[in-house]
Amino acid sequence: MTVLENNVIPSRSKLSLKRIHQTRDRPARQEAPLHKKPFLEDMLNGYRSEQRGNGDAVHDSPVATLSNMGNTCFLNSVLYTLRFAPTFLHNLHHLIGDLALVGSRLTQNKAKTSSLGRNMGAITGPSSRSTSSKDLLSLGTSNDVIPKSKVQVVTEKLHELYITMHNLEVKESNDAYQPVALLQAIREANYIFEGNHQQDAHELLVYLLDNIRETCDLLTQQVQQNPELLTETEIIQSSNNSKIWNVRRSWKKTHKIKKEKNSKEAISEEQVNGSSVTDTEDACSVDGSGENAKKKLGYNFVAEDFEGVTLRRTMCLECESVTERKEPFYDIPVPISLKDADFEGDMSINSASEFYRKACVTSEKLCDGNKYLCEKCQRYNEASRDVLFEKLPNIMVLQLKRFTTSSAGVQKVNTYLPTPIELACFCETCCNVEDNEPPPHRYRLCCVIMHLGASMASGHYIAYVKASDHLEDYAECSRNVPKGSLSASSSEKSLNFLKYFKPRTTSSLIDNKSIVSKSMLNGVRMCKSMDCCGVKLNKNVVENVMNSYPRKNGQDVYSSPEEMWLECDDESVRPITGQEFEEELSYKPNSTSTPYLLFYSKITDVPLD
Amino acid sequence: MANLKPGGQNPRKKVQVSMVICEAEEKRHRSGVNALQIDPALDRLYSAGRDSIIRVYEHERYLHGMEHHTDWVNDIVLCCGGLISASSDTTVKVWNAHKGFCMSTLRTHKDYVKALAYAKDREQVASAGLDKSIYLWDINTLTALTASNNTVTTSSLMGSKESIYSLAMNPSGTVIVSGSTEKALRLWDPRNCVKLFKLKGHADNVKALVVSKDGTHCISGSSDGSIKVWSLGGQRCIQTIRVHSDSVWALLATENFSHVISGGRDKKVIMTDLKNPQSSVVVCVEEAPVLKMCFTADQQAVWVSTSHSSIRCWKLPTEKHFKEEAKMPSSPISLIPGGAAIRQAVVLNDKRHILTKDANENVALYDVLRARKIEDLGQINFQEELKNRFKFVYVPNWFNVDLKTGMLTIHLGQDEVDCFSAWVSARDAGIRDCPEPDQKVNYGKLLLQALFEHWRGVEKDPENKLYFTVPKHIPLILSEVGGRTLYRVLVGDTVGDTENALLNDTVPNWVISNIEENCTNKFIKVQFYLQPHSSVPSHLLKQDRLKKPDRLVANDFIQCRKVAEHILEKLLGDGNANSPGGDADSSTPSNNGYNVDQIELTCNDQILDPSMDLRTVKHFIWKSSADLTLHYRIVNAK
Repeated sequence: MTVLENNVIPSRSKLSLKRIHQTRDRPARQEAPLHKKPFLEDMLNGYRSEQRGNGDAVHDSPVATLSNMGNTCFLNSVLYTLRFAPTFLHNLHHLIGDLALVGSRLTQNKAKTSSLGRNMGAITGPSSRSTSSKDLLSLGTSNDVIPKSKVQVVTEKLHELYITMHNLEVKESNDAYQPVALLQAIREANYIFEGNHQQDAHELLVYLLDNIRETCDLLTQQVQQNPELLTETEIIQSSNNSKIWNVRRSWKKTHKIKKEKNSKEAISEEQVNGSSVTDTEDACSVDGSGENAKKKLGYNFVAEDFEGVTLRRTMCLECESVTERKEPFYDIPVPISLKDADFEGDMSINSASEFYRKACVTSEKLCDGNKYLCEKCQRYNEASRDVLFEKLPNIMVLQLKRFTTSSAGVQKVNTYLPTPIELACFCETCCNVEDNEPPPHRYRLCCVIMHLGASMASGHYIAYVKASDHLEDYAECSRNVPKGSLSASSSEKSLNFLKYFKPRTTSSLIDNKSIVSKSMLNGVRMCKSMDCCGVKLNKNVVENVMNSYPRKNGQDVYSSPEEMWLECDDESVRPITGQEFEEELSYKPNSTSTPYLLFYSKITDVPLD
Repeated sequence: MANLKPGGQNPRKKVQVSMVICEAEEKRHRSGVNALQIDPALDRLYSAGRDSIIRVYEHERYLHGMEHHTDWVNDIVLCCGGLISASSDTTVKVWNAHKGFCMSTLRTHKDYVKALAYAKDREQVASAGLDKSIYLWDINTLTALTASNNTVTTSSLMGSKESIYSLAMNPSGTVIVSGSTEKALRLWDPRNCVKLFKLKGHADNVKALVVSKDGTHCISGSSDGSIKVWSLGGQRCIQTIRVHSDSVWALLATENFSHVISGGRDKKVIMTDLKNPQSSVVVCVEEAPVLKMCFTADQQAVWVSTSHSSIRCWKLPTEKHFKEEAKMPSSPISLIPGGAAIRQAVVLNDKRHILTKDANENVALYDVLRARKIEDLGQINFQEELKNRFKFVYVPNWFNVDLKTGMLTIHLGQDEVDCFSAWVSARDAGIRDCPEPDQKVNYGKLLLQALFEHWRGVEKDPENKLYFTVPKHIPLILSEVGGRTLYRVLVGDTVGDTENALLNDTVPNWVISNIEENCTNKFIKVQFYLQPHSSVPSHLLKQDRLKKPDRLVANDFIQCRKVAEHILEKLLGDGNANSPGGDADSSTPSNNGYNVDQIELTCNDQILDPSMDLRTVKHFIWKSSADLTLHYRIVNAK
């Protein structure tokens, strides 16, 4: 116990000192480290007391928390989930940045005042807690001459919320934040979320994703309607395709970079940010201003990451000709038809995967009164219809159909379904792979939204997310890569990260204390947006929990931080081990605490060359 | 009688009236040929068409057609003096094969009947289809059926779980095999209707089956592309033959079960030696997927039918061909040419004419009211012709077109509203020497009158001859909406007593009441608003016209000229008019000094031609289901 404290506390103070150094131009920040030591001890004590069973979990949160404003756990669970969904925060950040840029240029064009956008930002700036001038700009544009759609406001508020959470984490504050502004914006944009009653988390998720997709479209539209907004250099497609592979080389090669320089670089970026000055030397600083324009042109990360394509294949049983229809989708509804008994025992990955494959990849026969009008035969014939997945998204959302509408109203189905940590991919390519070959993709669980309770109205939502600050998302920000290869790059990127850093992640996590700014990590340039709205996990809290395990369970050191999960229950966020999490997901008779939305992230296995 | 009185079976179901526009004698198949049978004694070939007609050829020359089905004929079997047919109209029909008339109709199946099987020694026939059931019929009972005595008992073979696409029985009737989308073969003993066992092994639908004479072996052809030989005693597959690159749809086995002839979706007919499956000979490559084959009388050649309408006869390979000592001939030894199916049909704007294109790219024009082809246009550009024939008129739909048989089947609207929606002036309907060319006629009513002309002697209107006739050979079909056929009769045959009685039972009441009486006309109404254009001097408008627009109701075929007249008479009074209301006698000429030609109507800022009717305005200019709004203004007369 004491050993642990000695280890942890100095490292924390070291880290915070460097933070001060980094943010010395903002005096307000210095208050946090002053209370550091007693506070931290408080936290640890709190943690321990919780382990003893009577503690208050609020005081040692590894991440910023959201408070329940009365039946808003549906909102909180979705916000936690999106925050920890791979690549989401990073992409959202760039979208907001692009919006601000285009918005300010539009304003410039209209008002013929070149500095209007930035001025506005400066005016509203001081009231905000944000650390980056980019965010000030996005706030500023809300007073803009160009009226904003409610859709765009919701997206911006979402980003602001994540900035606030980031700041709370930087300050190591444990105050739960009330996402009032976002909720307000959502309610204004969509009346179904009005009123203080419990809502369907799935509905909100779909709504938010749709909202962001629309915002992306809006941006594309603005750019297309005003091509003069972009300078020529911004439109030229970058030819640097091979960057992804450079990432891994650079990760390998360079390790030592002066921290001073890094922090300076980060600051200078912030200054550059918002103007249209393009620094072609520095990929990261370019990121904030000019280069991102390429991505703007039709880049829709929601479509890229959350959208899959279903393939409906219909074969007339008479002439046996086949017609195919493709449709995009955002989530896959999984019907629940099993009896509890089917899954009581241990479930291997294979049989769980098989279950989800069968539930999603379906085949039906169109017959009797539901025959198919075959265009070739020009008559109604029997037909077989298969629903396949031509493409599954990078982040696949499975919605377990727990709420069924019957004559008695909406009822919840509590039937147990397995939630495998790893899921075999069931896209068409993977389904058609020969038996002896490994399928090209697989999926790994990254977030789960659980529904607790007997009905939708009275229930409660809790999110489980993988404890990670998703550093890999920010490495070598891929905005230089031409459109189209982006989704591939992100999955490959995470693959690289897994391949080359997995053995080291434990140490890299602990090494974090020696990193001042994340804009350089292990020699890889990190997108500076991680210092705006990225997740900043309080490693100590997580590690403490990890380290407490051997004693608690009498086992060997069991968990690597990789396998830690966060249980996000409104204002209480509790780190749990992978084992605890799996226990939570395992079969319990008559349990009404059931996984509802499963988020899987795609892992593309590319053979090494 | 029960079987022939279908109208009484389900009185609640809506009944639809349809007709098929065809020639008096359709000598050639219009579409694919689903089944073939040979009568070796007379050298007659029977073919079952997707155009619903069974045709008989003697020495390859057309003899006669057998018409009574209303949908694809899927299978036929020849038995002593008779012919049994199975059709997608869900019926099985028993025919006098020599004279070519339908003796009785069996309506036991509930879905398309896909396959028949015949046990010669026991004079038993089995039928099976998409309703998953198999029925066994005694042929002697069937052929004894008459119109007045057609109650028949049947035994059914239970246990099928999915739609049956193929059926086979050995001549002695000791075993019956079915092939279905279950991908398995099921076997029964037809003597006691006991289920025997199931044979699994195929990966897809089984569409072709043959059983050996002694009932010990069976060959199956599947959509998985393979042919399997099964030992029924051993209950297992003893051989799998893969000679086709696509689904196998047709099978024949030689008398001694030494060779199998198979045809399929890959358009090939292949003969395989079962003792040496590596040696197979391609008999022919057809122009379309092979649907059925049958041996010629001497068993030296096969007749092959495809999803195209022609039937060809190909020589079978001999020992020499198997040893590759001789080449197979590349052309058929005989051909029964087929006709062209109508592949595309577009109803023109006048909702009376249909432009069609057939499988040979020939374009033709049909007149629905006269139920005949009126113009052959040859191989011209269909889309271009459609464009040329576009008329700026809108007439509501009153029928729809179905091409499943390769001929035009016209389904009239399903009720009074749908069927009688199209009112046009006698002039527009092309009725000459009509005393009142502006009199309205109804297309649906005209056609129904023509179709039922000979039934109960519907009197021709003695006063005016607004009358169309349809040829007597046109088949009239009464069926449940979207379902089974109730009754099919030729227009000219409706005079007969039996037919008369049956029609009394089946023809829906709304049809009878509308063709018999000179019924009250129920016109389709259009609601619309009339608003003065801002240029109309307000002093011209009668009081309170400015406050709210006039909401009017009129028949949908009213022309704009009539509306203008109304405006002149009712809405525009001179400011000092003595009568403030609009109740002035309409026959008195208006006293405000304007005439009808000076009233200009607009809709969506488009000036309307006075001869245009309101439904056309609504459909082509207003383009919305909301109430139509028209504006009017006064222009200077020329």
